[in-house]
Amino acid sequence: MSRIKPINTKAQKIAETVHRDVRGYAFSDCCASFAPGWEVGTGDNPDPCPWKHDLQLCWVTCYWMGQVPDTNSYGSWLDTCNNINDDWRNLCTIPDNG
Amino acid sequence: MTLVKDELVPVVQAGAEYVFHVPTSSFYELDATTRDVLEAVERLDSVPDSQLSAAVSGSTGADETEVTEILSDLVKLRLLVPRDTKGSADTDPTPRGTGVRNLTLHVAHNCNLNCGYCYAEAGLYKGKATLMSVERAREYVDWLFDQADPDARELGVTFFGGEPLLNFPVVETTVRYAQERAQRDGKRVRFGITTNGTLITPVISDFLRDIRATVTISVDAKGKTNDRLRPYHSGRGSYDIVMDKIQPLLESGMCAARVTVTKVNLNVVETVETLLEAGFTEVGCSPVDAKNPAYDLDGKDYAELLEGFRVLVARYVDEAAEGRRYGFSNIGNILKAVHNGHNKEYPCGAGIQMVAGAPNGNMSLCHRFVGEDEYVLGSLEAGGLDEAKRKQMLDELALKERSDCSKCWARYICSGGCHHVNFLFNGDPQKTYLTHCDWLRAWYRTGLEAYAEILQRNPAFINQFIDPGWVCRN
Repeated sequence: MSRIKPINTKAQKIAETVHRDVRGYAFSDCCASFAPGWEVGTGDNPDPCPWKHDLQLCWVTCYWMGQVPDTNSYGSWLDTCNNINDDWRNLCTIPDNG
Repeated sequence: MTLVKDELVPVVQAGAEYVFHVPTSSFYELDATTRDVLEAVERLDSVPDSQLSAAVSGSTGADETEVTEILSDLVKLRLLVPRDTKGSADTDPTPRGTGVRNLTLHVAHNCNLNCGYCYAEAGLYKGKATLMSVERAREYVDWLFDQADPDARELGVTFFGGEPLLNFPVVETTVRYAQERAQRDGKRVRFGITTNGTLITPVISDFLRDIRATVTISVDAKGKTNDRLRPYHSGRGSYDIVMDKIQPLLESGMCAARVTVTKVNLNVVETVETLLEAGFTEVGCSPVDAKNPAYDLDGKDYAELLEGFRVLVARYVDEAAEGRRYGFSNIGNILKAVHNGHNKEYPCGAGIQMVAGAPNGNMSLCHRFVGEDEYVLGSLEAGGLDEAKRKQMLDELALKERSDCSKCWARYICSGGCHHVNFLFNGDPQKTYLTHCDWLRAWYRTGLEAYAEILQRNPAFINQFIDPGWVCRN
């Protein structure tokens, strides 16, 4: 975005939002179909996230293109999520390095 | 789908190109190719977006890959939008339904001056001369704290009139009471006072300094011009007396001046210079709204006022380039609005987080509506605000209800203008007073240009003096 420079606070906020690109990756829609969701987990079961299991299963096989990232461009996309309990937000966006 | 240019205001400053995006109040600098692309999209009105890159490339001569990238960025920033979403606003959330945080207390409905343009008719507000009682003022303070949101850490009380210092004992007692109440509730309370300055004594100066009050002195010009506008009831001028009485406050660097600009005192450059030299930390100018042709500005007067403002803005920008802050507060306020991307449904906090309390216990939309029965939002006797009436009034006053403003690029900055000015001239706060509009648009454009110029000459100034975190150390 070198040709357009945001110069006030509002423009900078908008630019920061779009900078976190979600190309080919409608993960939030995907998540909604999985229940009960990681957030109902307890201390006894610290990694109950059904996403993680389903995500890794569907990563390769999923028929819906929107559910998976562009793995050619973002081969290491899951690296941002070392711990699903702490880092789950990172799954929903891909840094736009372009 | 067809992409169109969203509502944009082009700004050129010292050869650089900018656009102000109306629906979000975001502000961007563009290079020449991006500007050409935007203009081409406007020319190529109905080209489907699948063919747009090629068409723009053909129209501008720019490389198609480059054009594709620019178009993609313009779409991400919402500067290009699908036709049916053009103008979709992204207004800042209004803190509706939350408690009042600022109370303007009319401690005196009376004034020792007799300014011809006064909207309150020498401070009487359509009633008899009245001073607020100590008990009433305490009731107001208790109401303010009782209804405040638990998370409101700071509340404000402004003493107003008429001339509030005609009732200084009540001001003093109320401040002490509010301070005790704040301590008990674990909150902070800050105070302000708007006064004509004629009754300030060394004791009052010390008191105002002690409570770190924001002091605004109403003064309109230097010397005889001020005296013509702001005489005592006897006809005697007030300027020399005021400047003498407020000297200790000026020396403490804690006085701002509020100038009401009329046909009589259009030389704002001289006024602002004089008052800043006299020691005011800030000087703000506001056109009079008197509904009196002897005072109200007409088109030619507004042009002269704008010219004066632009001279003062040039000084402000030159000082900013050197890292200093020039105390012309009108441009300071606009720069803050531009910097933050001010984009609001309401022009001010009237009825939202601020109400005014009259000596009789009635609470009004704001200080200017005191005395207008229709705009009473509640009373101490009734236990506070009538929330249904407050909601209805705020619903009616929202910008989205104003068809007059729907095509104006400045609508999210101005938000329909002062409710009271609209009421005074059009009989209805919802009906925008259009006489101001050309002037306001020109003034806001000056603000955009000034912001761009300061960023070119000394960007550090914006972070130091305009960013919301900055607090005046005076």
